[in-house]
Amino acid sequence: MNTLIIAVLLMQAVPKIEGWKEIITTHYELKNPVTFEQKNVTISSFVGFRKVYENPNLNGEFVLVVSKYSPITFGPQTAGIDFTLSEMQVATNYSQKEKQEKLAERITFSDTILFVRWHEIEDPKTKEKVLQGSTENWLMGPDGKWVFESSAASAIKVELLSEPAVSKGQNILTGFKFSLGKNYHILKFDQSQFGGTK
Amino acid sequence: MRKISPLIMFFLFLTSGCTKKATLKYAGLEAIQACEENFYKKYHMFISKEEENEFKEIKTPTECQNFLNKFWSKRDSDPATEENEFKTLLQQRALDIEQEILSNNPGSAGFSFKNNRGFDGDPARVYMLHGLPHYMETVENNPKHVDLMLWLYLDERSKHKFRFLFYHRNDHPTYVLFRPVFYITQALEEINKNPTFTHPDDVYNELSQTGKYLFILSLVEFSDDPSLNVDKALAAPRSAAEIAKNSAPKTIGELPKKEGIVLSNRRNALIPAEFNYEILDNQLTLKITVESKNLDWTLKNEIMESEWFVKIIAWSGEKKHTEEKIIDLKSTKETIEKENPVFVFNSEPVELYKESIRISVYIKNNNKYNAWIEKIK
Repeated sequence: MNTLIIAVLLMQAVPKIEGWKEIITTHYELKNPVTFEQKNVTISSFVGFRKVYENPNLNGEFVLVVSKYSPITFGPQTAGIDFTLSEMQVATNYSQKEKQEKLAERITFSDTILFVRWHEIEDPKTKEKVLQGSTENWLMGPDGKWVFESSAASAIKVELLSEPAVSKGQNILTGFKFSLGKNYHILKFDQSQFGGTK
Repeated sequence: MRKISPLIMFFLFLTSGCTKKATLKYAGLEAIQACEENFYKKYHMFISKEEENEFKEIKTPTECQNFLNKFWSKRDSDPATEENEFKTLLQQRALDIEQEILSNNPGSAGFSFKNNRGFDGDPARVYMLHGLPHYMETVENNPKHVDLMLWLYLDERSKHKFRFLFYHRNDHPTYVLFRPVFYITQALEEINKNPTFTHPDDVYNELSQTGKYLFILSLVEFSDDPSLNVDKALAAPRSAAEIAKNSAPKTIGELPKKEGIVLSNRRNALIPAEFNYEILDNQLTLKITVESKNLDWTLKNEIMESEWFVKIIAWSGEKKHTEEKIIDLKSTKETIEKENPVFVFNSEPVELYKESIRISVYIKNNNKYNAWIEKIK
């Protein structure tokens, strides 16, 4: 009986991915249109990132990790009207580098809120990748506690959040909601961070 | 001691004027070689006034190297790559000049940078600043006008961005840049090979009859873009660092502060908290509960302080309820560590006008946050 309880607890402990191969990193970006210097431009806000890791010791085993960081919004590039095309390109190169550096810094100041672990194998008949066994999902609730669920496919639902803009009547995208059953965790920016400080 | 004859003295005086004056005021031979010969001679047209002043003060090869590192670094057009693309581009242009790349070009056959004052000449300056022209044409050995060489640069819409016209001023066999003038007669006189015997109209007719309209145009107009002129085209371009400084996008959203934080939750971005609500007499009250240890605290006059921001938006039908509060919490380190008191925020009662109400709750403390979105029936 004791062995069974320990086995259940171990199964529910969040995956350890030290030494796993990082395959891809993507930031959660929200693009919103704004009017800047009488021009319609799009500005980007970032609220977190996802990484996919592969187990180097077990072919086809993967873990998706979603993390949140303090949101950051990048305003539009303020290129001078007298900039030439090549100067505009230089300005873009520099702002891209600054953006990458700031996002890399955010990664180091983040909290993991979601793990999804699955194992895929190649179907010998179709040669396509298929899931083997169940998918394990861990989501951190707003109270900081982990919730676990095992399912046939990923049980995580991701929704894009929007709300009416403070300055204008139109809706703006403000974040993502990750749900596992009734539990959820929100990655978002506050509208005060869309041009003010709070 | 042998006396130096006045004739030799006079000769020395004359020749001293012919030697190019060193730009570096106090540098030794090694620094002069590295900075002046290998760098300044080729790239002087890119140096700003401030850099020029700094450059003149260089004394040692180390100071020279530091200057060069800074100079090139400020001009790196893409800081994300290892290569300094701008440096590579300029080094290639300098090499083109040294290898006389234009001598075999159909529009400038036989042209030599070396015979046109090398890197000090106008053609080298233009080549270093703008590279290979899109179109080149030379008219030489004409009895009516001096030798002319045209370099045409196009913009992204194939319009004439720059028309650099070089000419043998006073028939002297060195190409110098012609500055377009308002009156064409004045321009024609300037390129007239023999003003005593040739009327400017004859120079015009000669150019026009041989189809050299671009040359005629270049005498009076430098560019299709009226905002551009020769001085602007010859000015040192803005450095990449300057461009970046003037165009850097504003960023909003700071990381949690570490400085001054005496007690902190162990999260980097999250404030663990609980959300709840109750409905009494058709009025909704929202509750947010946070444990002390889940907030970040600063110490002021031996009192622990924490600022907690709460924002609530509730939509009930067409009605919108907004509540924003900054809550200042005070405690002692011992109380937080030993008792971990719980703070509860109760919202103002929200009137329920419809069967369901949508609410958005956001809390923030030291740039860490938490959020809830609910539909309450």
